[in-house]
Amino acid sequence: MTDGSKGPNADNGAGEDFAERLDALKRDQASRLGGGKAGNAAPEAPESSAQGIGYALRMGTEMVASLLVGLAIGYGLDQWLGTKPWLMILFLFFGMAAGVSNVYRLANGMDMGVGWRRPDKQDE
Amino acid sequence: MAGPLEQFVIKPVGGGEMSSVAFTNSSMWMVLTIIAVTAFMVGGMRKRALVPGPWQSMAEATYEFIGSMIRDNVGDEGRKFFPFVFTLFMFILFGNLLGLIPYSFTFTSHIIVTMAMALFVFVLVTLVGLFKHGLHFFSFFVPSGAPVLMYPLMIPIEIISYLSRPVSLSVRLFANMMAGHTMMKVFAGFVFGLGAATFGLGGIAPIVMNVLLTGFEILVAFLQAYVFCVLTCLYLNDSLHLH
Repeated sequence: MTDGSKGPNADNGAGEDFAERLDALKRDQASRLGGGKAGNAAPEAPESSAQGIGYALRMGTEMVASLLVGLAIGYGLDQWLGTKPWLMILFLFFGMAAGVSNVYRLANGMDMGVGWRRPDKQDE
Repeated sequence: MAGPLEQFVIKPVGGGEMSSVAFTNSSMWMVLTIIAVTAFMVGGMRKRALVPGPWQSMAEATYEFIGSMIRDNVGDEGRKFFPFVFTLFMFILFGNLLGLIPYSFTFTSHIIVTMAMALFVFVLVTLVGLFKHGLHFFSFFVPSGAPVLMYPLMIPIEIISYLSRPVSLSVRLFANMMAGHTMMKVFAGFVFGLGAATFGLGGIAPIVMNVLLTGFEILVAFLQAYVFCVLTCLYLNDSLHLH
């Protein structure tokens, strides 16, 4: 492709081919990144610290949000059906269970959806 | 001295009576955000250089960032949702960042704003699932592999965990922005309180803390916009590909 004869490679010593040097650089970079983007083999490990913080921030809110939704559904059903405290208590526990299962799924299969998807391949 | 929560007060621009149709500081900063995003993208791509300059690289980098996010999390079918996710990301990101300018207003620190966006995502994702899969979409709520006896227990849990998505999506963004901005104001208040008691020396520590907090807030601004969009992508992926 390019001749590279007039490139300022005086300080590089031996004048290697440009493509060769590019390949070496790419290999070097890939080994330094540790298969972050290229490999994509390990979805379990967060790719960077920023993503790790992102996951950490998600954990807490997932639990609280499910709890609140369970509570709200129970309260609404109670208002509707006139069974004052019971459905709220029942759905509070459902909410807790949903929150725990959300966090479990989030922690187990990092790239999986938070909702109903379970980390496949490991269990069955 | 203003209290730490006074920065979140919504008031009409230029004084006057508060009404349901008033043009508030919140609306004004949303408009400014849209103008800033438009200026950023249009101004960056104006030259269309083959070798991009710094500004054009930034515009291209955001495009590539969202593009690869969708490619990784949704796949090829997610391509037609690119404009939606990109708009969402830029709106939240610029809203968060513009909110860090002194005397500005952070509209993402109000749960009504984040809840509106989260509910939009939620409704869109549900409709996409319904249109793509019809009533088969509801098979989502039935856990596969569980014994039938457990269904009365599992199905409400699955439904609750599905309904908790917009709540967690909106609460996360709103709580992070509000907590960060309140904390900055509280530390700024310490500057006066400690400084007045110790001839100004005590004010140094809170100022240092506030500088660090500002950096942290910039990180949070990016992170929350990123998390919001990644979750949108994951939800889209779930709706497009039933498991």
